[in-house]
Amino acid sequence: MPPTETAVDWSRLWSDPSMLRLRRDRRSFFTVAWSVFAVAFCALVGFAAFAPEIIATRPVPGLSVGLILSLAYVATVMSLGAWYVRRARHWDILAAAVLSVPAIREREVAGNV
Amino acid sequence: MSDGFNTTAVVVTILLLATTFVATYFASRRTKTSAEFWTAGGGMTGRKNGTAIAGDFLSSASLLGYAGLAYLYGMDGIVYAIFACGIFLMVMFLIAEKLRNLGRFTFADALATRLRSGPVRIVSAISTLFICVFYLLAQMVAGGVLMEALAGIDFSWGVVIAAVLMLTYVLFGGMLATTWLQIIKAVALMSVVALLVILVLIRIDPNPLNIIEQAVSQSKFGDHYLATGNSFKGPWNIISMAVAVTLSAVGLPHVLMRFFTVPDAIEARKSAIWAISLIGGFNVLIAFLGISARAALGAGGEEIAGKGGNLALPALTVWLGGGDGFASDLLLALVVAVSIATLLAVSAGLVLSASSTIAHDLWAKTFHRPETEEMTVGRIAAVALVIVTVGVTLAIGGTQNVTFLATLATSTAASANFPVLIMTLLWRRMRTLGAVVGALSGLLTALVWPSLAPLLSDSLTTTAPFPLAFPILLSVPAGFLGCIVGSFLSREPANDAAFDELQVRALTGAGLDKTKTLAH
Repeated sequence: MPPTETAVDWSRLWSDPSMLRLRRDRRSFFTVAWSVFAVAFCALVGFAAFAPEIIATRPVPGLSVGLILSLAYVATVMSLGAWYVRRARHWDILAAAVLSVPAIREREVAGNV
Repeated sequence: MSDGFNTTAVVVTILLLATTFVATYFASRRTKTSAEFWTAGGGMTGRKNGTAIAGDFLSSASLLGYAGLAYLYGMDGIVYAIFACGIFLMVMFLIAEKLRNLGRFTFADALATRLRSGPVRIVSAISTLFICVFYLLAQMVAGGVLMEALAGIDFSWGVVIAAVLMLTYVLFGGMLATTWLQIIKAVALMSVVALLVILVLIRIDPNPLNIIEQAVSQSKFGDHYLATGNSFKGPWNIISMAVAVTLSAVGLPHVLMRFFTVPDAIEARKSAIWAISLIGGFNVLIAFLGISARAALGAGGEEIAGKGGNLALPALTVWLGGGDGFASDLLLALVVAVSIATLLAVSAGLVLSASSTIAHDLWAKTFHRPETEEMTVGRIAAVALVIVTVGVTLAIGGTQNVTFLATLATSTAASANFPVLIMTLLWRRMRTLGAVVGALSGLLTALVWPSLAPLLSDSLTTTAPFPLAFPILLSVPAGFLGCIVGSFLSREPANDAAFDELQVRALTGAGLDKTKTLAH
């Protein structure tokens, strides 16, 4: 457990401009990402729960609406994951900016001794 | 399936396990400190850890169970497997990085950064032990049944052999050995599944769509084979199944623990994306194999596959090998070997997680014993835990429904651990009392509700991984409600500085030990 008694003003750091940039960027990502996930989840659950007959129809022999929805769901989940990883690289840079705020850097040096 | 002792299966299993014991030997030489024992020194790469996480998740329940469900009920089995692909997106979005930035050995470390250490550690130790023991029982029963059905080893002996093997990994190699066991097994499992899919395409039809058409024509449901509702009766069942499956890993202590084996948030999210991709790919293929079994096995298949469909995949394997003969034996042996390795690996992870909460949360942090004793205490706890579990397993025998136990474990995890963790990370008003009340109300609801639910009587009669999905729809809100009520009732003064510190550290990794290096 890192020492908390050293004088880092975490509350000030939490509202530091560099931290605010990180928080804003994360919020904008998660708003979109959660919405996309909610739509995908509700679409698959909704059809499966309330429209089993539509699920079973086959526009192409062997390929039913349910299978198409299922594959689309898997693709959505994987894309959201990949998008998160890409976006998070940007957060690493923003987080590094937060960590270079003088107060915390001094503490890190002191803590590592 | 042969009724007697299956020599090929036993030999292949021993060969696979021999590989993992070599890994354990090397791991034991590198495991000297508590950090190495619990978290492999935090030196795993994201890719290795992600494969191990996928390994944790891809249990024999998913290998045999998903295929069985898809075989028996068509679309219902497919959506079950498909919703499971979203599990680690939840883990990634909600907790993976933050947990890595805040914790050391157990998730209670993260809670203790802003709440009072004693109460939250005791409560999370209680829920962790409940979860691990239920899950462990499920694994042990499944192990005994599997060895009996596939390798021809007696149930009781199967359980004892599994317990001794699994303890060996934990005691000698700790987290490093357990992780390598998962990696080796995950790779073996993927390879076997890929091989089976290739064989299906060669033997039945190169076009998967034609195989699906054949399956539909073979099914007693006819065109309705591709509709939902063959096993999940009514929309409510499907909705609760979807929620239950999607949330099933967010509170599992042995999965959360894996995020402490990587050095930082970057590797934590790499782990998650690896796990998502591997599980997604695996589940699609395994559902397809279930459908292929329907296309291939014909009228007699229903009987061979067993009531819950758990033996549909082994039956397909034998069919792909051409019925009787060495090719069939070998293919079946591969499936048996990875199933048993899976079981050992998941059990080892569970034992490690349960003993870490005893040694770290209780022994070292609550009773303030020196951290150097953690490993010894952890090993003793592991042995005790396994002895108890084996005793209970032998007492309840092979007839106990495995899915019931496993579902009890995942729904308890989602109800007792998940709300507390999320509220502690996100809610400024959260107090220690909230964590205690939240964990206990989630735990109790998850444990008590199934014994009252009418759904239980139905699902006990099937052996496939059938969801007792209702408890989670009730017990997760109960957990959250407990957090809120407890926090509002608490007289603990607000500690905004501690919450701000938690938030900054969770998002930036400030204060994280950066001296660790990656093991290659």
